[in-house]
Amino acid sequence: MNGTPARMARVRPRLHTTLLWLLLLMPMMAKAESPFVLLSDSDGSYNGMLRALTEQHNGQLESEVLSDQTPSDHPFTLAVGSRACEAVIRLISAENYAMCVFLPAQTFADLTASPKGQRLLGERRLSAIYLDQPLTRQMLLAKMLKPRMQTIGTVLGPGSDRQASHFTSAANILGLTPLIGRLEDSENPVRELTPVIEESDVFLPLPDSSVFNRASAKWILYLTLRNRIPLIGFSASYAYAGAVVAVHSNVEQIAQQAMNILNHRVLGDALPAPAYPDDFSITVNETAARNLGLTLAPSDALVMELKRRERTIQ
Amino acid sequence: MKYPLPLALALALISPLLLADESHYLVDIPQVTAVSGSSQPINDAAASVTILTREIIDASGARTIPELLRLVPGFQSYRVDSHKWGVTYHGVADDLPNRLLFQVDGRSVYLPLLSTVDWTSLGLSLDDIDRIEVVRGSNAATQGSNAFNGSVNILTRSALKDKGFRARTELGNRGSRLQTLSASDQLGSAHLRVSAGYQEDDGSQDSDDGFRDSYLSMQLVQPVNLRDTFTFRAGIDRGYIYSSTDYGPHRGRFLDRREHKSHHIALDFEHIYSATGTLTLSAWEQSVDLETPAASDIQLARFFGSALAGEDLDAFRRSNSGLRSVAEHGDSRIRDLSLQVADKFGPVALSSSLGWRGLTEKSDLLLRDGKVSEDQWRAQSALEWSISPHWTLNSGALFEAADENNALSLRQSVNFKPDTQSVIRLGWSRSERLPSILESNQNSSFYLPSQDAYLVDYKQFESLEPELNHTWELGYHRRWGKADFVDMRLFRERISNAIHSTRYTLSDAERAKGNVINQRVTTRTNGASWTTSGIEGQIKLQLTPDIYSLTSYSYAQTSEESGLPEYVETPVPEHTLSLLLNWKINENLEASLNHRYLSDAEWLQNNETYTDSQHLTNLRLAYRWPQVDSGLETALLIQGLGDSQWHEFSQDNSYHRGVFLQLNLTYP
Repeated sequence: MNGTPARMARVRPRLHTTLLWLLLLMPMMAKAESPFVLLSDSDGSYNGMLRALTEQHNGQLESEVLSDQTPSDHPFTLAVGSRACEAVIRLISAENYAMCVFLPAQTFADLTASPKGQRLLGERRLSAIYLDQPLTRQMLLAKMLKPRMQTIGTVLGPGSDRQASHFTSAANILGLTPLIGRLEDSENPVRELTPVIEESDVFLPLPDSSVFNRASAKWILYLTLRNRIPLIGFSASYAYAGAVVAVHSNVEQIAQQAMNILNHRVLGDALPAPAYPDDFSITVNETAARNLGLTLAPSDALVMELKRRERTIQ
Repeated sequence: MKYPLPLALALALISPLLLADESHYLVDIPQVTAVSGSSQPINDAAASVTILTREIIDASGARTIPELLRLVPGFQSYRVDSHKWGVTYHGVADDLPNRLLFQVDGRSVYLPLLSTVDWTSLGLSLDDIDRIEVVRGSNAATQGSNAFNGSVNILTRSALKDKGFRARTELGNRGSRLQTLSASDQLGSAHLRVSAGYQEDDGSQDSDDGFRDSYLSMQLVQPVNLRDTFTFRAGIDRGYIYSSTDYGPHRGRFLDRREHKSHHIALDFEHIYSATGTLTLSAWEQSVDLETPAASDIQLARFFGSALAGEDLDAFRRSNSGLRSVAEHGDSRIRDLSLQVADKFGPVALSSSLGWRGLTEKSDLLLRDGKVSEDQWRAQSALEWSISPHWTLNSGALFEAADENNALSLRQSVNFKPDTQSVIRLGWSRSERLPSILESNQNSSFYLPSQDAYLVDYKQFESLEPELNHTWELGYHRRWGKADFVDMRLFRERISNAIHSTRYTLSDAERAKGNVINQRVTTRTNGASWTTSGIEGQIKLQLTPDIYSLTSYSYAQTSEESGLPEYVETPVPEHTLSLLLNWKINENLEASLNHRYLSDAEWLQNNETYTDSQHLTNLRLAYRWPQVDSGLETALLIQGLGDSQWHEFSQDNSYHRGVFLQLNLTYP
């Protein structure tokens, strides 16, 4: 053992340094948990989300597509889409965490209305980043297009009827008068939509069932153009189809927000409250804008200005 | 640990809570391009597509649809007479070009009786058009019958989009007058658009081949509920043109009046049956009645020459009802019924249709038996498979079955999108064109009573087969800025089995059998072939905030020709150029200049039908009166700004500078 104390004396500072580094690195090691991704389906949109998440994660992610087989349990599950989210809420064990992405806010609210959902939210073991945009954001954009607007119209289908109060609240916050029409599958769209559109300064359709969105879009597009009313779409597809602008978040923006939360989270930490996407894009249909005599700033400038106005209102 | 409740998962899959899931945000909103004018679909298109928007139509200074089509790369349009137009893509045509599909709101206006389009009886004016969509090349083949070299769909203003009144009055030299009026309104839950117009002029100063035309059309869109919509269209057209009886050096002296009466009715029913699926049932009927006068004694003598020696003209007339110097005489009636289903299955969009078309053509001059009827059946399918965000595969097939022939057209293309703004497309197509009723059945025979024999001018002896077009193409489309784009197409088209006219010598047995006195008759045969290769493109540039340009250019060359007339050396004009410049001088004043260049062109009619290379410039100055809230515009249009005289179709077919003053009113 000759010479050991001297050697120990040499080694001790190194050991201390190493231990210090290990202590410093512990939070980072703790947060380096790799989430398990559960996809609602294997089609292009969900795979696109998985690709974006993988890119943001800087490494492969373990993933599974929801099927008849029960998915395996993980400490942290990222559920992509409504069905995956619902499965996770039903099946999550007491010690685990989950975050739902790529689903509408209303759907998440419905899914978490159960006692279990409420408990998970209360314990902050469940969170979400929605796919859709807050109504105030869309209405602020409307005010950017038409600063003197006073009324904002929408039409609610059988599936979006519950959004009437949200629409009214958002309009009231911004000092706008909400005009809400209702349309059933069996009703004549021209008869129901025309009075609302004619009275609106800007029209903002809300998403309903897919078939309702698709069938009503044609009439909304034509009638708003005919009455020269700016239309704000809820997806890029709406802007391509003829809406003047559409505000929407793409998979990269949602994935970045989700992975930001995960990367800065220490294992066992509570999750933040469910939120709308922080980042978003604005698609402008130049032809539709020109038809209405609107001169719009480039898309990036619109995004910056909208973010500024959002901060102001907050 | 495994989740214990697979049943819960199954319940999750069918949960009613999920009625409003994310798929509702991801649903494709149908492109209402009349609203958006978006070029977004072009990136996924299976072919080169040119869209002439309302803005371009206004700026072009064109007064007719064929003139507008000069803005499309590779298209040539020419006046055969002042009001008789030929429109072709990559040349190789005569006075009645027949290798393009022309549609108005999806209804084919191809006239089987003449194997071409009669542009004066369409029942619409330029002011009724919302936009024109042109598919260049045989990748359009699966769009419908006769889309052999391309297709043109003229989309009229929608009753849903239009509101209020529009009126246009135009006065010009050579007695030119035009008045159009349209009104659109909502009647209950229906939208109605009515349009009417009147037009006349004295024709060219060399030929006095004036015309007159009046039309009335309407469109009614009636939704039944959110998913079901009826669209009804109808129209009538009446008028006349003067048509040449001779394309020789003295053509201007030999004209006859050709009257037209046409009508159409069309009913579409559209049902949205799911988030991705639409079913459309379409039915339409159209009739074109062309009437030309009986030939005068002088015309008979000129046409028949010595064959009438010793013949009693009155007896000759009594024996032959179809003695007319202008052959465009007869009645064409088409009925069409089709059922189309379009749906999307994940990344695959599929559109399929079944259709029937009944043709009844009557002419005592062109069809010896006076009447020919034919049933045509067709099945069409098109598939668009988005393999990845960068790759799209397009496939299409059209099978047509007629009384004598079947035709199969196929197309395949792969689109690579390196970014969201551009696409590179490699395409192959095999397109077949069924012979028209005229081509298959033309029989212009005349009975000579004194000889108890026939003089046969034109007769079809052999059955004709479909023409065939094999095309390879490489396309590139890129858009940038607010509305700038470039569209290029490199192509090689091999046309074979093409139908062409030829002189046929009757054998003695054939003459004896048919009791025919002459030896040589004109007939049609499948025997022509040629290859056309070249490059064409269109570029739109916003040069300054107030000036934009639209340039279209096509370079084409033919090779491996066979069966074409010997007098034709360049059946495809080598260079076709059109340049449109539009300058918004201030809030109310706008100027546009449209210049066209066409290199030497030779047409198949005869050795007199050619033109030397030439330039033609149109200028349009428009002033919007700010004092009139609703919209009042005065426009001055000069056609032939540089050279005051130019030739079309033949060097003997001259046209002179035209000056027109327009007054356009819109309300509200």
